[in-house]
Amino acid sequence: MLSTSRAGYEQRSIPISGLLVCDNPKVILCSHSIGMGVVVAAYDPVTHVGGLFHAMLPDPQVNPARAKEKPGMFVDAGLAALSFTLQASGAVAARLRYYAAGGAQVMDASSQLNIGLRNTDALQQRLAAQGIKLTGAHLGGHTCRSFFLALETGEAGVLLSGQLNEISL
Amino acid sequence: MTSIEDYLSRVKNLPPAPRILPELLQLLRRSDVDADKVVSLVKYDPALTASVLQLANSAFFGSARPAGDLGEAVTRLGFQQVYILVAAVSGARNLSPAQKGYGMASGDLWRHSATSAVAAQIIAKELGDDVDLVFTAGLLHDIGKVILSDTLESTYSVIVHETSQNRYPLLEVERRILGFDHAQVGGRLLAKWNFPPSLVAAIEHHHQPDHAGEHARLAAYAHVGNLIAYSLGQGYGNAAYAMEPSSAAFRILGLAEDSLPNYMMHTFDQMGVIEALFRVKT
Repeated sequence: MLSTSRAGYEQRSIPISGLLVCDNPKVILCSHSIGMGVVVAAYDPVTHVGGLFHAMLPDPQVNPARAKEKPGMFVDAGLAALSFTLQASGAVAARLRYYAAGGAQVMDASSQLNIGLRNTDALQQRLAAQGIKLTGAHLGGHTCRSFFLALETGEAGVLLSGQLNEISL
Repeated sequence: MTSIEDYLSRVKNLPPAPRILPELLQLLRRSDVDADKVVSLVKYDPALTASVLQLANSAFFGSARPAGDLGEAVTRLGFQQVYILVAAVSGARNLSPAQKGYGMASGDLWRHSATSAVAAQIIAKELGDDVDLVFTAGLLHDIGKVILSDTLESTYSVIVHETSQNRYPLLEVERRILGFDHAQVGGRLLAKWNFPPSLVAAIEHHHQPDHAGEHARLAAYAHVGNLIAYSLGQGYGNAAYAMEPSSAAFRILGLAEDSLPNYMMHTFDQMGVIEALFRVKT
């Protein structure tokens, strides 16, 4: 279980709009309260460098300046910043394994109000444009979740709110 | 099926009534607010007073010099801010426990409610509406879940199935199982607690604000605040997102639907305030 604390390992939680890259194998990166937002994580299994961001919106259309100060707030800016920071920390782009979680959807909403769907659509478009395939994903549905990535092993998993058992990705 | 009144009369552990809020709201509606009356109303509850002072002196609400007592807090922060702190502490008392029938852990409903209240308040401030009333509507919109949670615990697996397999909104599943939903129960509870009719209607219709008649605007605030809380990840438990956002809520407030991301960002910028509310001691 990645969600329970392990002796000798530190859980480092990234809040909504945050982005973090880390090369300490004793760290388990995680993000909680992933509702309509999406978490995107990437991991290099050779260097054990990994990172993630927790986007709340697809793009910074309404306020482009925000993407500069907080790239992790947006799917598009977050993806670019994650890839750049990982490579600056010694990861090799071709080796990166990508994971995604979140994008909870509301029902019968107009497209403007279905932020979860807009986030997952934006993510899939961006990944396709860059030729990136997700190694594991847990997207959509109607439930908030948490995401975990162990930097030592590359294990990734999600835990749905109200559930006890993790789902491995 | 039982009526809501019958159901409420049989509920063993009704949450404690936040008696002070309807009275305070009434006091604040007057053009000549009497500071002494406000202070004496709050002061009779020492635990509430202590928590309000703790919040008033926290980094996000405090002025340069800490307030030693409630009178000082009112002078420094103003009635409106003190009301919001009193509402937050009263709300936290009711909304902090786990709601197992909804799969929510301790603190989950409180986080959701506080975020909804702050989000709704940000919009009300911008549109020039009654900030105290809107904050209260956002804060208490899901109070009915506190009542229904115990009953729904035994039917939890049915709810999971109906929302995930049959794709029914959570509200409809409640109606199918009980004959009524948490919004109706919340409205009835607020009426029992002597909250003003506007808040009763807003809570009862927060999922369909266009059904709230003359109080549609307040219900729309509760709806949009709720939606923003969800969009920021503050929606917990089983199938919490199995809800239907109302385009009517945006129309009622005169907002374009594409303004949602903007208000999400404004609410995100108030996370410090929201975090301070999360940590409130009750």
